[in-house]
Amino acid sequence: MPDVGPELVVDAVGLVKSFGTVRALDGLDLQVRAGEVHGFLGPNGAGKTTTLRTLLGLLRLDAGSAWLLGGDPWRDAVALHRRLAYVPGEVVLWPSLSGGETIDLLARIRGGYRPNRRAELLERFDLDPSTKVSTYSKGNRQKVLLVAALACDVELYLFDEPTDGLDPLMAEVFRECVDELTAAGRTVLLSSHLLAEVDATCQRVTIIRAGRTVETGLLTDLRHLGRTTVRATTERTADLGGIEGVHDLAVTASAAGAEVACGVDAAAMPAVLSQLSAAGVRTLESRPPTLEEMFLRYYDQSDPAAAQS
Amino acid sequence: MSVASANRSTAAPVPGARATAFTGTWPLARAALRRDRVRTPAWGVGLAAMVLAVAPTFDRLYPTAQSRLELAASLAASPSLTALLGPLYNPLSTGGLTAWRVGAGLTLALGLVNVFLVVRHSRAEEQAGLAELTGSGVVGRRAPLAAALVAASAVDLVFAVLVVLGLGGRGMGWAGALAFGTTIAGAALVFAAAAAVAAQLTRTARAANGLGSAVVAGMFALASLANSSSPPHAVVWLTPIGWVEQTRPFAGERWWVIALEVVVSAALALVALEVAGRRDLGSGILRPRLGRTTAARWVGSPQTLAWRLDRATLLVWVLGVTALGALVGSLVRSGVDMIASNPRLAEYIRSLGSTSSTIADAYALTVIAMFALVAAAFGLSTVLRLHVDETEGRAELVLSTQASRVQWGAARLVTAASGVVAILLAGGLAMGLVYGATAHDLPGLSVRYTEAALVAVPAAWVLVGLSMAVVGLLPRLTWVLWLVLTYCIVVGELGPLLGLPDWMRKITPFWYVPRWPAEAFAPVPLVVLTALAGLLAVGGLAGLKRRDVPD
Repeated sequence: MPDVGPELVVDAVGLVKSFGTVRALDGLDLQVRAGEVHGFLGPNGAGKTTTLRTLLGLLRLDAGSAWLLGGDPWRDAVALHRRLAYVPGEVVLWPSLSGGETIDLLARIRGGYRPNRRAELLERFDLDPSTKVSTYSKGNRQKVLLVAALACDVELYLFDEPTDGLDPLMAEVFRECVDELTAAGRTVLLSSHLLAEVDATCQRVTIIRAGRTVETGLLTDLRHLGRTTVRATTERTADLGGIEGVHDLAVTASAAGAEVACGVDAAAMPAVLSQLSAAGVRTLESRPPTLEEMFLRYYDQSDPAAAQS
Repeated sequence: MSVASANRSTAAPVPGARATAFTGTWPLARAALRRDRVRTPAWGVGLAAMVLAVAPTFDRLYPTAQSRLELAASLAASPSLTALLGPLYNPLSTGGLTAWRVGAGLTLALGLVNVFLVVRHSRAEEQAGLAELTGSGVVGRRAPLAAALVAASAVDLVFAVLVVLGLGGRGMGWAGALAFGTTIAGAALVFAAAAAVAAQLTRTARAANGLGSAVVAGMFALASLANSSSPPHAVVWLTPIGWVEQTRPFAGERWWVIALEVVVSAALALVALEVAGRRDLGSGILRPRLGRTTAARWVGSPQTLAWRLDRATLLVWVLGVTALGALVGSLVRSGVDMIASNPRLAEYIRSLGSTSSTIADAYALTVIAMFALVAAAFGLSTVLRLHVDETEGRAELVLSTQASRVQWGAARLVTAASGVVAILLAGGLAMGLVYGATAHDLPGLSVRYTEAALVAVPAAWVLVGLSMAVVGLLPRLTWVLWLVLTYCIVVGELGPLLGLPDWMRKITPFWYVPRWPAEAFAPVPLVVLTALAGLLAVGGLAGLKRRDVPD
C-alpha cells in the first residue's frame, strides 16, 4: 500500500522475527513520517524493543522489509547510524566511567555532536557529570543516555521507554526537549507503555500487540474511531437499545424522566442524537475516548477469547 | 525540634519473636548453596583431585630414600624452588613431598576461589539490588554476609574432607593428611574472611574481587620472599600461605598453627560482619571518587573506548607479571645452582621447558610458559567482555552509533592482542633485568629473556583468536573458553609432573612455542600460530557481522 503523501522516515512492512520457537514479531507494520513524533505503543513483550533493534540493524529479519532514512537497516547500518540517536530501554552503562565521560563518548561516536548543547542539557536535567556511573540511580543513568542522544543533532531519534525511571519533573523536561526537536523538523519515534506520555507528545501512534500492528493513525482519528461516552437526561425514556453501535447501555427511570449512559461508536452517533432529541433531551454530556480506553479495547479486540465475551 | 507523637503504636514489632542482625542467615545460606550446587563440589573435588593425582608421582620421580635425600640436600643448598614452594620438611614421606609440592599453589587457588565466592554472594548481590530485595524480608543486616561465608566454607569443607580421606586412605598417615587438608582449608577461610572485609570496603563487586585477589597474590609473594632465606624469615608468619607450610603436615604436625588460622579468620569475619551491620545498604567504606566531567579529547571511537575501559585492568596485570618476573628473576641464579646439583631434577625441569643444556634458560622458559598462560587469560577475558557487553545491553548502545560491528569487535581484539604483548614483555623484561643484575650481565640477559618471552606471544594470540571466533560465531558457547584455558593451564603446568601423554599437550598452542634461546630459533611455528590466530579472529569478526546482536 504505497503512501504517496509525506516522506516516510521509517517504513516497515510485515516484519517477522523469531527467537527459537517464540515469534517476537509476527507481520508488524510501522510507518513514521518525516517531522512527526510517532508513538509506538504496546504492552510488555509486544515486540517494541525487538522492532527498534531490527530498525537499528542489530537483529536480522526473518521476513518482511524495513526501510529507514532511505536505506536498509541491516546493510547500511553504520551509514544510517550517523543520522540517528537511540536511547535503549534497558540502561546499562560502563560503571567505571563518569556520567560526563559516557555522554562525550557516546555522542562522539554518533553523528552531529553539539558539545555546547550538552552543557545546557546537563543543567536542564539537573545531572552531575563528574559522578561515576556506578553510583548513579536508575533515573540518573537514564538522564545520561537522554543527554547523550539529545546533544546530537540528527534526523531521527529513537527512544525506548525514555521516561522510565524519571521523576515527573524530568519527564516534563524530556517532553519539552521532544517539542523542540519537532519544532526543528526532526523525527521522533517514541516507544512507550505510558499512555499519558504518548498522549502529551505524539501526533500519530502505532499500537502493537503480540508482534502485530493492531492500529495506526493520527491520535485524533483514533479517538474518532473510538467509543464516545454519552450521558443524557431525557423527559421520556429514549429507545437506544435497538441502535447498532451502542454499548453498555444503562437506563435509570425516575419521576422527572430518564437517565441514560452508554458508549457510542462514531457511526452510531447521528442515530443516538436523533433518538435523544425525540425523547426530549434536557442535559447532554459527551466525552471522547481516552487513550487508556482505546488501548484496552484494542487489546481485547485482537484477543479472540476476550472479543467473544 | 521534633517530638515523637504520643499516639505511636507501642506494640512490640513482632510479639514473641527474637530477631537479631543474623536472623535469616540459614535460609540465605541454603539458597546460596543451592545456587552453587554444581560450583561448590566442582571446585572442592577438582582441587582435591590435583593433590591426589600429584601424590603418586613422587613414588615414581624419587623412588628411593637416597634420591629423596639428594633432593632435600639440593633444596637446602639453594633457596630458589624453596622460595616458591616453601621448605621441604620431610623428604622421606610421600605425603611430605606432596604437601611441599602442592601446598602453596593449592592454597593460592583455593584462596582465590573463596574470594570470588564470598564476593559473589555478598557485594555482587548487593550491587545488583538483590540484597535490597532479601533485606526487606525477615533478614538481619549481617545475614547476607554470614551466608556468603557459609557458602565459601562449604567448598573448603568438601576439599578438606576429600584430601584427608584421599591421602589418609592411601596410607600416608592420618595425622599428616588431617593437618594438610585442614590447614589449607583454614588458610582459605582466612582469605574468605579477608574478602568479606574487602566487600565492605568497596562499592562494586569488581573492586572487591580485585582487592581480595590482590591480598591472596600478595600473601603468596610475601611467603616466597620469606622462604628465600633459610630458615624462613619471620615474616612468613604474616601470611596464610606461610601458615600452611609451617603447619608442617607429615613432618611433626604443629596443630596450633591451624588454631591460629581459625582465630584470624574469625577475627576478620567479625570485623566484616560488624561493618556490615553498621553501614548503609549499597555503601562502602571507601568513598567513590568523582570522575572527569568530560571525556578526554582522544576518547571517541570504539578503539579508544576499549582502551579507556581496559587500560586499568591491563595495568594491574602488567604490574602483577612484572612483580612475579622480578621475583623469579631474583631466584634464577640459585635455581640454576640447585638444579645443576641434582641430575634427576634437572631432567624434570628440562622436560617442562627444554632439552637445553643451559639450565638457566630452561628455568626461565618454564616461567615464560606460565607468563604466556597469564597473558592468554588476559586476552581471553578481554575479548569475552564483548560478550558481557552484549548480554548486559551496552553493545546495542555502541552499535546504534557510527561504530560498525567489525570496529566494535576489533577494538577489544586489538586491546587483547596488544595486552598479551605487553604482559609477556613486562614479565620477560623484569625477569631478565633482575637476573641480569645478579649475574652481572644486565644488557645481555634482559634482552635475551625479553626476546624469549616475546616468542611466546603467537601461542597466546591463538587463544585470543579462538575467543574472538567463539564470540563471533558461537556466542552461546563462551563458557567453553574457560574450560579450554583451564585445560591449557593444567596440562601445561602439571602435565609433565602427572606424566600425561604428549598428545594432550600437543593439542594446545603452547606446545609449539619454540624453546628459544635454549634451542635454535624456529620461525615456522611462530608464523603458523600467528596465521592461525589471525584466521580465527577474522572468522569471528565475520561471524559478528552476520548474526543478531544480542544473539
